[in-house]
Amino acid sequence: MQISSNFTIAAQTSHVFGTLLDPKVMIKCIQGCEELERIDETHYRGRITNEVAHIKFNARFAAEITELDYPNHIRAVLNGEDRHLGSSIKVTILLDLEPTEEGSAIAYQMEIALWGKLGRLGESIVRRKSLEFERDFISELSRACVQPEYTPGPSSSQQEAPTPEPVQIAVPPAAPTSHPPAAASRPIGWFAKLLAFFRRSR
Amino acid sequence: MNPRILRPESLADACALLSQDEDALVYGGGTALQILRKQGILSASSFVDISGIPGLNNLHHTGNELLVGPMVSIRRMETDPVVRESVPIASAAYAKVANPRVRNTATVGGNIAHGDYRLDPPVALLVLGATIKATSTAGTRAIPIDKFFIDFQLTALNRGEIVTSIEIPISNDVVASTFVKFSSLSANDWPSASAAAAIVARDGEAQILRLALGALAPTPVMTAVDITGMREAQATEAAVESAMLIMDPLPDVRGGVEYKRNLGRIAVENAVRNLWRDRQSV
Amino acid sequence: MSSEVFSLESQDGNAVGQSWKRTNSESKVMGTFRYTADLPVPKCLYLGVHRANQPHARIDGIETESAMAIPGVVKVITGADLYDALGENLFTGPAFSDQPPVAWQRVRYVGEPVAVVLAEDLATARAAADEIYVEYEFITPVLDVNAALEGTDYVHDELRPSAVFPDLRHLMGKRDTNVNYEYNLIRGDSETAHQEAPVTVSGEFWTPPTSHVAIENFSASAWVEENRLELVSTTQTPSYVRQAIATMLNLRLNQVRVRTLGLGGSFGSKMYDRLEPLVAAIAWTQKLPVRLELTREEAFVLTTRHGVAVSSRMSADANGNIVAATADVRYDTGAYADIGPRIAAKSGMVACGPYRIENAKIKSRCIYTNKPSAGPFRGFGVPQVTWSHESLVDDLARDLGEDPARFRRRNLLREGDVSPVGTVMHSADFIGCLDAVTEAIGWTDPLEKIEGSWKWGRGVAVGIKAVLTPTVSNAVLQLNQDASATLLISTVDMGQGSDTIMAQIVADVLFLGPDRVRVINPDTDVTPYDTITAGSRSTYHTGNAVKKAAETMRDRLIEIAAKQMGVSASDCKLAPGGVISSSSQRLISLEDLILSQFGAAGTTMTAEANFTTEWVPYDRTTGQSTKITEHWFAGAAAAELGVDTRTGRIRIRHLAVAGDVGRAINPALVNQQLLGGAIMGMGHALFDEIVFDQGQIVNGTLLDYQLPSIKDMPEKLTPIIVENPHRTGPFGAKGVGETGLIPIAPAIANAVRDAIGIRITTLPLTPEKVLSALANQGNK
Ligand SMILES: Cc1cc2nc3c(=O)[nH]c(=O)nc-3n(C[C@H](O)[C@H](O)[C@H](O)COP(=O)(O)OP(=O)(O)OC[C@H]3O[C@@H](n4cnc5c(N)ncnc54)[C@H](O)[C@@H]3O)c2cc1C
Repeated sequence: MQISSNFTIAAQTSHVFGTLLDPKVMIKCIQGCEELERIDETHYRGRITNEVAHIKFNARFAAEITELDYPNHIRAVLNGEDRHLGSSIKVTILLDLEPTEEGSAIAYQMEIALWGKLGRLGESIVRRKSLEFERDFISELSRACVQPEYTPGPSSSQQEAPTPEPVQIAVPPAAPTSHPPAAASRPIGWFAKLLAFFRRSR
Repeated sequence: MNPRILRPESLADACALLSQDEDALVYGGGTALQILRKQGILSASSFVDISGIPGLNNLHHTGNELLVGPMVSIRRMETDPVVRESVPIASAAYAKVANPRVRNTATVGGNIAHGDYRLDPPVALLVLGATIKATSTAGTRAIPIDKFFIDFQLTALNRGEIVTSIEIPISNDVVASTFVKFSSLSANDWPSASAAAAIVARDGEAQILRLALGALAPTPVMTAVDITGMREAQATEAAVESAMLIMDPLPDVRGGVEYKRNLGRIAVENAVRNLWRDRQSV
Repeated sequence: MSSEVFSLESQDGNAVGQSWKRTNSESKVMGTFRYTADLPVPKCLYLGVHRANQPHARIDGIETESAMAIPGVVKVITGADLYDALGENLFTGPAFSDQPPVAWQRVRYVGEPVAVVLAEDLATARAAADEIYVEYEFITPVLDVNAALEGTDYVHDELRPSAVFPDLRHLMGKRDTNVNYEYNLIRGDSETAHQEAPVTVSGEFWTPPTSHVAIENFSASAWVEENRLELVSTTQTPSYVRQAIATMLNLRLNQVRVRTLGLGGSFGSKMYDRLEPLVAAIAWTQKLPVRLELTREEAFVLTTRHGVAVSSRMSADANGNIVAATADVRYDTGAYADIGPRIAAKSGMVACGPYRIENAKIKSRCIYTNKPSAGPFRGFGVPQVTWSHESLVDDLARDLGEDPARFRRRNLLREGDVSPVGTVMHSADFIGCLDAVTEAIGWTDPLEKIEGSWKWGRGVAVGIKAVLTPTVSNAVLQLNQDASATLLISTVDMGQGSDTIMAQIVADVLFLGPDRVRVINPDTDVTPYDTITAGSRSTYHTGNAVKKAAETMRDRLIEIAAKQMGVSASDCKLAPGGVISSSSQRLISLEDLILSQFGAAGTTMTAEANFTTEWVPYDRTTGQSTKITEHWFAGAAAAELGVDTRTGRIRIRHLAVAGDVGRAINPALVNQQLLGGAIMGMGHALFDEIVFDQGQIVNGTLLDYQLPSIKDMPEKLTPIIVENPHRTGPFGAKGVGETGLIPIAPAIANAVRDAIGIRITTLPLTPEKVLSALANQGNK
């Protein structure tokens, strides 16, 4: 399955680029990411959990950056596996960054392969989930790039994954115990504008 | 491993069981749950089967409301003369669910709680403005149907809550109503687009067209258009325009986004045509 | 082989030609019929299969500890365990020895068995299989036929054709290819003929993989008894399975017993190596009784129908004669060859259709990809090429401004013609079938072509298929002293009604009534060798063996009676009630005759017969053969349908299907085969399709994989029996199992073309596809 889109972030390309490689920030950008650790310059590993329709997904993954052209281009390959669900996922991500008047234009392409029991669930669930991922990712990345407290730490840092702070604005994930109020499920304010922009641009 | 099956005999016991175990699930007819279980992807420790609780399969006409217990079968909603007469589009939508085998087993409560974006009955219930009653150890609350479907496969029900009834208003103001369903593969398949619509009279002359769509967005969705004084063509145009704004179809093996939007448009056009025909014949 | 000239005036009893009701019809309706899984077997351990979640990968390690820790789990077996025990014999297959029952070192498709749990009960076995964890090293998968042909990734390091076939020997050890077989047909000079022809049409055609979805699911049990292997399995090829298992385990044939009861449908899915190598290998190496039952989801990855790409061209001269045809056929056979190489040859060879064509060129290849293995499916690969030639012929006719039925009529092969493959045609009445279906739907009647958003059209298509040749059938007939009979054959009744038809053949020869002939379920300890129950071959081949056995029995009865009556054998004949002497007019009943022969009640007489067909192997470079097949199947279909131009939905008003069956031994069963084939074909035309994404089947459940429902039936469905007796068929009969399916999809697509003026070349014709074709048409 191919997914591609593009969006704009109000920050310099070099800054966005650095942020994308910072596990401390990325763990907050990737919905359900519970651990993320950088092993060396090009390798990461972590764990991601999620739930949809009473199916709980809990996958360990390893990611490798296979192409890197600072500050314009990243290609990464992620391989994950949920042992319990007998399913594996392979995601190939292409990211291209370009400076614009507003900051940086980011175009991405993902090729997702989902094999095993989860793969049988069909495209709609995966597409829908990736849309949520996308939404959260953009919102968090924007915050991280624009707000000073998110300034990424030294890129060589290897650290234990911190528990992500509860995110105020983004769509609540389908958490088992939360009682999502209807109003909060719609993005508000500047994020809504951003979202509207990125939807239009497709 | 297979979930344990628990069979409480009272609502209070059922609520207690659910509150004690976060991974327990309410078991209605099981037509949705069994599929997930058999595919080995369901995360549930136990099924709380509520079929032994007295009173949950009652169907009650109060004069201005139809009170439907969660364990009433979908087949009964299709065939019961009271339902057919008082809320014909609900009956029509329940009649279009899957096949008789599924309709005999599946329940009204399980259907709505399933929360799938393609379900047929919720589309009719949206147009009719139904209310869902949900009970847990914390008490009972009423959820208006337009607040019930929150996101893809996500309803307003909290863990531990049981749908204990669906209240469907019976209104003399409904001038005409219709349900249209299109599937793209076999005739018995899930819909690729569905639409329920009703013309509701307001304050004498004013007329509102209530329109709900299924399978065309991550949840069933609803809109309303003031069609006072409009002719069929104008009303169709207004309805389509409004419908297109709330469509956000998901591509899958049954069709891509453009195809589904097109089918959705036709479902709305057909729905308005049916309404006009029915309204004339009244 | 018998060469007596057949006469329609049967000399024998009148069972043949009657619509006897099916054997077992009551028990099937009442739900008391015993299917294979109901056959009592010793208490078995259940098998749970852990399946690959990678399309192509090296197996680096298998963790089984947590599975073993579950109470009730007895053992976990991996491909390596089996390889250690069986070595290269682990690899089996009907054409190539390339498939291990459990992956060894490498997985080649999502869903391939990687480890097998043996447990006390089914639920535990399956739950434990989920607890196994496999460490993989990713290998780039080959995901479609184009990538397989153009890329440099290979599904197998080298080809492993089965050692027993001389015609495959040259492929042994071939490396760096995904093409496991290539068949070429060359006749005349097609390139020049195309160039010189005034009209040429061409197309890129695609038929997707589909699933058989037999309602009865797969099961198999195996256990060891006194140094013999017992196997009970849902198979339509018990004789093949016995041979394959004996070879795999290095046993004598009489050490392997394979049994099956009636099957609840198969359509080619229960053929060759399915569950049997797996249960047999485990039962034999572990000396444990084991049983495997598949889930519906597992059945989707067990075997599929080949997805096929065809690039083809056809040309006609100004007089409307087809002068040249070219086809490049690519069969996607998945990770293991199965019978794909044979399909590529024997079905690829008819890719030009049943037409008189002097210049023809076909290249047909069987290609590995990292998908579940594709195998035989009702039609054996022919519907996929029919999709191409019947679309092209239609376009050619329309380009010439001619009625597509008339155009076909002129060009169709007739009795005595030489087909493009070099074999003379006999008993294949294409024209009779074509005329029958067009007449049935009122081809020439005026048609209201536009009604609101609906556009109406008519289409027709014909189909040709060669029967599998050479093959072998045997029959053993036991006549009991009370004039009842027991027939021992290895033909599997899977709903097609073979038990009924074989009984009718015996009854006809021996003047026995309905219910007098019992057909024994296949049991390789008892019933004799029969190549396969498939490819519509049983009525002709096994039917001939049965008829010969019955005739031998008849002749012996006459001989004995003559002796008892003191007259010459030529004075006697078998008649209703017994053997009659024409000179004395004396009649001896069969009961008395056998009683006095052996002096005891309950005695039996046995007769047996063999029927073997032969062929002339095709030339390796030109594909030509003077006898490519024992006989041909001919069929046609015509459809009248509407296309809703708003929704893209197709509604069939009338579908007529005809097959030349030589002679209908049981007309009701023949009609049911024609109808069943037509309905299945309609599913293939409109929505049947296995959808893959990166090697994963995304609609591999019955929720998402769609079959025609009762509400999808055409408003009218007409089966038509055409009888053009075959000179060596039993009573002139041929098979009919596939005939009804083959021409359906192109007949429907041709009607769509007639209705909306658009040629759609990829199946299925979903509403979405129709709508986007209409939109493109609008944009032009
Ligand atoms: C082959 C097939 C085809 C189908 N086609 C259609 C179709 O065309 N249109 C359509 O609308 N639907 C279709 N369906 C879906 C069908 O409508 C649902 O499966 C069914 O309504 C679910 O009801 P159930 O009682 O069996 O629910 P269950 O399977 O018992 O439960 C479903 C969900 O609801 C929860 N639940 C059940 N009861 C309650 C309750 N009282 N309170 C709170 N939560 C509860 C369960 O925990 C579970 O999450 C199809 C299903 C099948 C199997």
